[in-house]
Amino acid sequence: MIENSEDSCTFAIRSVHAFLHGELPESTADEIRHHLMACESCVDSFDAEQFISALLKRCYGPQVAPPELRMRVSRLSIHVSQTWQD
Amino acid sequence: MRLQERPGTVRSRAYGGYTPLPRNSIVLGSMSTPSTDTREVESEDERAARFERDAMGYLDQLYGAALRMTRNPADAEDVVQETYAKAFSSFEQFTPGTNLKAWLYRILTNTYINSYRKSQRQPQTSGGADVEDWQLARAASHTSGGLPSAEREALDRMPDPVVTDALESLSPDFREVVLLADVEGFSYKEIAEIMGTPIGTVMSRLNRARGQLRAKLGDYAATMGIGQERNDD
Repeated sequence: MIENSEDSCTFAIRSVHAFLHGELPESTADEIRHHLMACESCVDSFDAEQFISALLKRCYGPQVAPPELRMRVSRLSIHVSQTWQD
Repeated sequence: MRLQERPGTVRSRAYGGYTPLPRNSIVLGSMSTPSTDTREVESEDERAARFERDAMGYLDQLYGAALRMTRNPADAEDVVQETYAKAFSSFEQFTPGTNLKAWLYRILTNTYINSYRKSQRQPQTSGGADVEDWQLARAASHTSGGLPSAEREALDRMPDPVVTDALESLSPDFREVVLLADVEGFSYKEIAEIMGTPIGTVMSRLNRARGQLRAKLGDYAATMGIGQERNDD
């Protein structure tokens, strides 16, 4: 493997999360996109990481707070503001 | 709209090269704008009503986050209640117009750390905390070659408890940073504020945490006989 391309793989993999989370400046992101067009193994890796993010979202779906908790918490401010209704 | 160019203004331009991240400059950014601050003119009752109106909308999300931290509904309720009590009593310190959700998450995180995490036995931390990021990156770039669609396929079939167990086996800081970034969808800047660390720390924690997570999921896939065919050590 050419040293140079190995460096750009290392750089791409190192930036994978910042890239996928949209945290890189555009010019840096473009460099990575450019690299991804030429490097299949990095594309696979980026795919896998993106999929793990989706998997995490799936596994930790939205929760609904129990009604009693909602009551107790909103009582904190109701107590002060005296704005309660029936 | 008028176009005005001040003399001496250098037009910024893409040099086709590298723009370094202006990291430290944005870490502690949430400065207040001193124009009109509702806090100065509202009564205590009005403030309570404003709290009710603005903060209650995050209850479900905060409960979900607490549940993921404590892994136990009763503890999650306690953490959330304590969080809201603290948030309510210090609501005067919150600058209107800034990021309320991140502010509440920060209180939640601190409450959890101070009241709960300390009293619990730490989950076993996986090794590799002293592995440099570049080593991780290098390892990943060198092993990813062989498991393209096979890894994807393995991940597709991954049952939820395998994923949650893998995440929960990470150290608390690592687990937290992954949850904040991938499940709650916070930006790195917000995570830095919530966790009270520089953005650089957020990034390196996230890289390491996700590296460990992927390795654990890969181990599971291998024991299930999916995506193997590789034997290099």
